[in-house]
Amino acid sequence: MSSARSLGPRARLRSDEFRLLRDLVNDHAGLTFDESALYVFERRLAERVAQLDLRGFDEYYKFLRFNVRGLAELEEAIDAITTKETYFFRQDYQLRAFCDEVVPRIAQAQKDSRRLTVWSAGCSSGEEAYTLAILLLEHPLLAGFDIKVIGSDLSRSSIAFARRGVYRESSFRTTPEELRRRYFEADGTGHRVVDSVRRLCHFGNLNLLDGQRAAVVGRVDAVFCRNVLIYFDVRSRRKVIDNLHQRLLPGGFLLLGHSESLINVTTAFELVHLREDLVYRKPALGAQT
Amino acid sequence: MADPTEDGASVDRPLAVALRAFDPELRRRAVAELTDVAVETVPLLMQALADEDWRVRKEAVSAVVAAPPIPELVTALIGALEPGDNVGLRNAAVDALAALGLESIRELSAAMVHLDADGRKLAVDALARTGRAEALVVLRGVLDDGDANVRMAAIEGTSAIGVACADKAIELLDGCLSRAEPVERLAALAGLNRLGAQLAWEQLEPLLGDRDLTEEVWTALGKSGDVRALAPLAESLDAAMGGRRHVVVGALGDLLWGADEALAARGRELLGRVSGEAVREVACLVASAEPLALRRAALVVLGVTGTGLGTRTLVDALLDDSLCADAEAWLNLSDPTVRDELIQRLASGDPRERAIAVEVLGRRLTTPAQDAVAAVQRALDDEDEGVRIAALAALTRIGGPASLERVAALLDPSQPSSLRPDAEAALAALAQRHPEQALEVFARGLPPAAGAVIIASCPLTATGSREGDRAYLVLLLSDQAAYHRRVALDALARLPAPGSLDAIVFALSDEELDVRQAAVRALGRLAEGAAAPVAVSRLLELAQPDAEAELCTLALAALAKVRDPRALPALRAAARAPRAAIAVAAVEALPTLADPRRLDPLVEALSHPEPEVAKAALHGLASQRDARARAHIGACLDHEAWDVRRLAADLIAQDGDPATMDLLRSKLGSETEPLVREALTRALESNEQVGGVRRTRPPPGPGPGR
Repeated sequence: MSSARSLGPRARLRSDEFRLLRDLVNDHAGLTFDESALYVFERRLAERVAQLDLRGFDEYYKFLRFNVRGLAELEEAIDAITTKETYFFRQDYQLRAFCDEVVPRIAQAQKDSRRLTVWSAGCSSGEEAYTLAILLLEHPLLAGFDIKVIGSDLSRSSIAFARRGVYRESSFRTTPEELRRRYFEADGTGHRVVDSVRRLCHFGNLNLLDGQRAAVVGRVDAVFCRNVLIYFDVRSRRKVIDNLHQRLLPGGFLLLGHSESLINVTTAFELVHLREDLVYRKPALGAQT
Repeated sequence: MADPTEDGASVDRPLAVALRAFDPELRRRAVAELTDVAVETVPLLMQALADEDWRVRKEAVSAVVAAPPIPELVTALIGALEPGDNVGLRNAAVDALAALGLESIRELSAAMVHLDADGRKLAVDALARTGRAEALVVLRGVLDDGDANVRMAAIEGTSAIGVACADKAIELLDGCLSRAEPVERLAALAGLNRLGAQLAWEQLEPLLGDRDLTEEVWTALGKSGDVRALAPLAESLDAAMGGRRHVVVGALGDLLWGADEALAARGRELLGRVSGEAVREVACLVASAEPLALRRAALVVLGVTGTGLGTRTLVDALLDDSLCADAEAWLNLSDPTVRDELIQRLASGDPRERAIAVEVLGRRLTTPAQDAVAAVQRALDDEDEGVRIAALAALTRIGGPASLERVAALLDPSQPSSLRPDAEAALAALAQRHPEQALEVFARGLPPAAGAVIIASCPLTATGSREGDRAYLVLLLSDQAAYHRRVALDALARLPAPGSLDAIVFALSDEELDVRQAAVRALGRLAEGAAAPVAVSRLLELAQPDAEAELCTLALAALAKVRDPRALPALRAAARAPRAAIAVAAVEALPTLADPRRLDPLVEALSHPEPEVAKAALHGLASQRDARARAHIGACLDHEAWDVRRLAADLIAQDGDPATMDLLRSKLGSETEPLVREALTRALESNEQVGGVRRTRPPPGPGPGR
């Protein structure tokens, strides 16, 4: 690797190169990007081009396609372009709806097993998964429940970050001070999730398109898949939703991002109108769909 | 080539002419070209054997050996043993008669009646050199010959042949020990020693004063295995000098090697009194003597003396690759001085010496001694990694409760990862041996990986309940350190507690390959136990040919170990996978499967387009010891890939089935690839050697002179 090159001007991404890279990512992970993502690709992948000591994006494309390490590098690339910024207690209205109206229904359904599992599908750096764990720990109806929160993401580095559980100030922009004091402790330059929350959370590296691998999650009571479907094309979106449907227990809930819906994707879920949100539910056994 | 003569016989005229040539090379070549020896050519052959030039005679001997059986030729050769002036002819005749073997023995026996003493001695030489047990019967009759030289030759010949029929030869030589003639007694005893005969003390004791036999008697005492042989040998060690002392050392080494306790104790008593000068010389022999057997013998003698010099020499010899095993065997670690010597070596500047000292302390201590254990534990701080690894291996065997915490600390993520496998093994062994102390250490707080190892190894529950242990490990699966997650998986798989399956399955989604692989191994372990049906289902999913190769290969290996009817179809499908790595893994796993139908997919795999898969299948078939498998291996001699054909030939050779030899011969005729031809030839040769028949020349074909 040449340090001189990495210090040189950033490689520029031509539109034809962008389309090649975009299609490659789509083939591998089902993720879809419009022309506006060109700048994101250029900014985030230029570092990879420099690190591999390549002359430009045309060489990078060939590396991804034909080099023996191409597949591993493609996953690095997807990592780089999909890493998204997130924070604790994001979209609070939806979290309130979950706690006030979804959790009581699940608690009722699981009153015998006293087990509850929630899956944060596309958890990025883990803030959502830990948020859910804190909310479930706080929930009065779940005292004595065996609670499990599963966080999964396509990005391996995001999963490693989530496991570490140490966050900077920007992750706490909407975190209530009281909860922050109780569930985080200072750790060097950041704040670490306390063990009582960490022990509820389990992180894994999953491609949501891969139904077979997603089976390792087991059966869950609720899935949070927020701001993930927007990255997929229609065909892939259907496949992802189908996989999430398979993982949900009958009567289990699916919560999407505020701009996402299942319109034109599937009719396997029923729409549930809550006071503050709309959520989807997998029909319970024996119920009409 | 052969022309009729006047009297109706035929002679080889060109050979006759050539044998009169002035140039010996022309004469030799003429003999070399004589391919069809017959009755008529015997005189010419004898003429060649009598040639003044040794090269011609040597060529003639070769011609005799290659000739078909001709009684007249044997008679003529024996005739050459009659009195005469041509020494070259007589020696050549002996060479030829010896090489003819069985063919000449009966004629030589009959000739003993009329040959003079010199002729009989030559006949005995020829008999001895046949190396055949049948010759021993003839030699027995000559042992009492009226001529001393003939008797000596017979004794020496008996010992030479004895390698082929030792019991009979020993019996004959034993009878010669009471001969009046000292040289005959000496030759007989030397022969007995050469044959490794174990003579009774009662036979040897009367010979102790026989000055002519001294060194052979020492050697025989060494082979006697009798404790009473020690005293004369110990005395001789002091008294003998130079090469004679070497003989005593060799004999003592023989006697004491593998000695029982009584013999060893008497050895320590007697050799402990040997002079310092003798011990020093023995120590010198260990360092530099030739041959190696003498160095080994000297090592044994030193080991028994128990002196400080002996101990130091033994410890020095641990560094010598050719002596280290013997040296280690003779180190008595119940002796504090020996332990001290090893412990002192831990301060050596040579890391190899330090590592070896630690290893020996770990291996040879039968009852852990505090000083040794403490020294080994200190070696965990050695600057050299090899020494630290050796110390961990030693503590696995001899470590006590005090080692638990120190070893556990090495599993902290801040410690070098290269030590972890050995530290895990050591901690597991310590926790098994000292469960209660292990739990005390656990309670005081440990690196998480150490906690997992203790939970998995300790026969007691670490947290008070199996469920608590399981929860500890499941929590560790969420740890940010991949190493901790890997160790937790290994431990969960060994934990006899239900409910681990989900956690192990979820670990298949871990971002680190190492952890995912540990999850597959853990599933394999569960698949052999109570959670078998579900675990097998997971393994079957992972064993799909399009799955992640690193996990798929592990899953295939795990499936081969479970007794589940679903395993065979899965392995069979994977064996057909286009990806060679997966197909090879499946084929390698198939032979371990209990299902008797495993042979079919192995046979199918021979047709896989990747030669490596076919080769793996060949190995698998060869391990089955089955007639059908053999037939398919044989068929692979026609495989399109040359390396598959070569492997098939090698496997057929290893199998050693005589029935396949014809097949190899026929393939040798048609195979064009040199490397495969080499393997075919090697296979044929190895089989012929096993059978004891090896022709160096093809049998002569029919010719005009016959």
